[in-house]
Amino acid sequence: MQSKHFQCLSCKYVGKTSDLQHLDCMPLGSRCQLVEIENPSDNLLRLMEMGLVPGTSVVIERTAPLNSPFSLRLPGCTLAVRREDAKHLLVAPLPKDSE
Amino acid sequence: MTLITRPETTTPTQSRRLVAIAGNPNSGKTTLFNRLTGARQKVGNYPGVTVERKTGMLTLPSGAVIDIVDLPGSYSIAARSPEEQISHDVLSGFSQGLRRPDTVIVVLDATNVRRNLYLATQLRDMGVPLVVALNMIDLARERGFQIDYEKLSAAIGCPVVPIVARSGEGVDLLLKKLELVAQTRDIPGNVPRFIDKLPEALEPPVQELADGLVQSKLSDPEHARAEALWLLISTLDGDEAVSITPTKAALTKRVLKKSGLTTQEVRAIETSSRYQYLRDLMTLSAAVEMDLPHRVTQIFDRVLLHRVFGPIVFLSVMAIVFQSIFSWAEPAMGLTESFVGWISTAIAGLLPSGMFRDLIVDGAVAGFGNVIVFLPQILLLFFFIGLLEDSGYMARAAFLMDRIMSKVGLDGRAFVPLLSSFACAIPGIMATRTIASRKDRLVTILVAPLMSCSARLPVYTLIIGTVFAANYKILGVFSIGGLVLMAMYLLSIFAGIGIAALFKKTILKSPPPPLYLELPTYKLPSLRSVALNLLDRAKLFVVRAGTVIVAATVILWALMNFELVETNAAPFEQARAQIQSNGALDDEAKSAELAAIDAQEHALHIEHSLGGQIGKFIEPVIAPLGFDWRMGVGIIASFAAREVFVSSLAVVHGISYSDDDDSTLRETLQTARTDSGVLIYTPLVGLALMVFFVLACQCMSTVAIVRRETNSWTWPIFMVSYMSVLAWLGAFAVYQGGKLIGLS
Repeated sequence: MQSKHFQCLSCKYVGKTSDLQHLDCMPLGSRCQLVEIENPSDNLLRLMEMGLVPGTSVVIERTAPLNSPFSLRLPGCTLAVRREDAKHLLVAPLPKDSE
Repeated sequence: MTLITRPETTTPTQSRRLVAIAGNPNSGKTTLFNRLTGARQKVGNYPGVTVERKTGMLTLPSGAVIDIVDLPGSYSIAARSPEEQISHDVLSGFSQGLRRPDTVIVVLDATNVRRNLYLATQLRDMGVPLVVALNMIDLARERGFQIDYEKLSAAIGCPVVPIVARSGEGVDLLLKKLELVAQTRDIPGNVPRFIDKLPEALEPPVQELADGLVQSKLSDPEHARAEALWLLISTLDGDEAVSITPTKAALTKRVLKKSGLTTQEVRAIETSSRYQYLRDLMTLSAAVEMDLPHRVTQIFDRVLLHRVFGPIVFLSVMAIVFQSIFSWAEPAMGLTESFVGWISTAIAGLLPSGMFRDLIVDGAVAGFGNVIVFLPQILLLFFFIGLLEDSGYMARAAFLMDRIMSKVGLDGRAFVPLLSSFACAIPGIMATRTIASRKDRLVTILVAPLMSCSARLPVYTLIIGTVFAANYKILGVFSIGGLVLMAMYLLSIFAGIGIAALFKKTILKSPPPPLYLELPTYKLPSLRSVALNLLDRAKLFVVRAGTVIVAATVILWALMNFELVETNAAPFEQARAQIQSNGALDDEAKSAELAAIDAQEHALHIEHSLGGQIGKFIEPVIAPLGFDWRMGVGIIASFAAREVFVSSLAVVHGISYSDDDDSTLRETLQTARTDSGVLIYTPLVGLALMVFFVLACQCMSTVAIVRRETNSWTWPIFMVSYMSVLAWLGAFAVYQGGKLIGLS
């Protein structure tokens, strides 16, 4: 059990747990678990109803050509989430699965 | 008119049972609806909003006939706008013109059962008898999904039927269960409903509001808690607010204030805890959730969403769509024109000549022609849109375009309608239905006619050919004609972007369009669904917009044919007699001279007509733009369709004109002078005229379709007004500005 400590390079996130970071700071292709949604906007509330709730595992598949939106693969569906919204998603990195 | 569906067969009546179909977008809800009803369906609007209401009929195995209504696809019953409120209102019996449904079929996408159960459990909370249809079960099984239907059914207290809506597998069983549910209501299910065991934070406000509702007799005790929770999570403030009675709104706000929670907070808590509840439900049903991603989708997306290839493929697809409505529709449009021509000739042969025959042939039949001439473009565009939507590519297009379009303040889904509008705004405006937010959709509708459509091309061509040395080359490759044409298209794009941004900040003020988009797995489009949709579009356009277009054509015809000033025919008769008796002319020369006399007489008739007089009357208004009354007449006449401007100019200038060749017209215009001998058509006037045509809403069919799509006269009238003002200002700036810097 070796918890890896990430440093959020693009934002100065200081959290309760050191290995949490914002989704938009994660590298593309990585897998993580959604831990918290900070001040969900109306748009994020809709995304929550579509399955983007705390506890869900997320694969950050790619971004559209101009770096936004992200396409996030959840178990069962793939959602498009803008960069502004991704900044509100606190995630814990998960080890890459063996697909 | 046999085209109109017989209302007695498809309008829900009091006596028959009503079944509603609900489900997430992409759950196959509409495929099931189409399979159940076939062509026995009718499309209309829900009262007050522009959301489509599809109703149909179905014969059950027992022989009983029931009505079915297709609810808008949604992920949740929570309402953030009047549009999203519909499902709740229909299911609670608040929707005008519809009874409360007796049963609801909830369609779940079996490849994502948990997420789809979210809506299903909300509906269960509302106390409507449910039948769950687990759709696309074949695809889910392939990807490792398993569930115990009996356990799930027992847990939530309603039948669960695995189906494949596309092939019809399981649909018979679904119908049998549907009949059973009607007889055996009120099976509680062995898992308590979510609403009966709320999380701690929500229990006090929900119970308090429910008590309040029951006390004020706004709800019966059975449904009060679900209604209370719905009120707490629905947006009651702001300009997209849900429309509910003031008493309910006041009660809800009081409870919210007391609990210290906001609507957003209540929703966030509901969502998180309901997903927790769903997790337990899935475990109880022995569900093995799919963990394999859809391989084909992953492979396709690697190319179609690629940073470089993605946009290339997208632009190529758009090029094909655009090309098809721009030029492939041409032969079909030619066919419809000759068809209408044939009808005109046939009718003209049957009726005695005179005012009445002209009214029928040049008014009504021409109006009918003005309607059906749009059908090829509409059908082609919706054929492609159907394919793109059904296959799952449309969501990718919105994904790729989101960044650029949201910079302008438009929805990513506005791209296809706006691009289509470069061919024709009619199908473009009809295609805005995919835009979820009412305000964003309105902005898109209002700027769509600014896109330079193909009907403007003949006008540009004529003017460029008349006032510019169109073939004069600049830098060896570019001709002046081409550059001017390009400038007009650029003007149209920038005007569209500017006006859209302006509206987003003022009259249709709203936050940047939200993006909550699912990228569904790719599927082979169902031709059946595409075909049914095409039929709907065509029918809607012909029936709803068609009547307005025919009426407007008749009015324009009347404008051009009722004379305010009597025309003295004697000089023309004299001239004709002279030509006839002139022995120096052979037959050919005679008929040419006679045609010229006819054209001059026609021109005088037009000048004396109501339209001609209006043209003269508005001359002072358009004079600052460099236009004379003849152009005014052309502008009025071109309301029928922009390209009519060309033929009307020919008529008012008294020359006979054929569609294939406008060289005589150009020569006439080039030498046309005012009474004081000044050239009328200078390059500057031509430029002002073109700018006017780029910006003006010279198209009654657009007005008719906007009336139909917005369900009111307010927006079409506003559109014509703002575009006329814009066109006038644009032309004024070009003409007066040009004169200031010494151009002519």
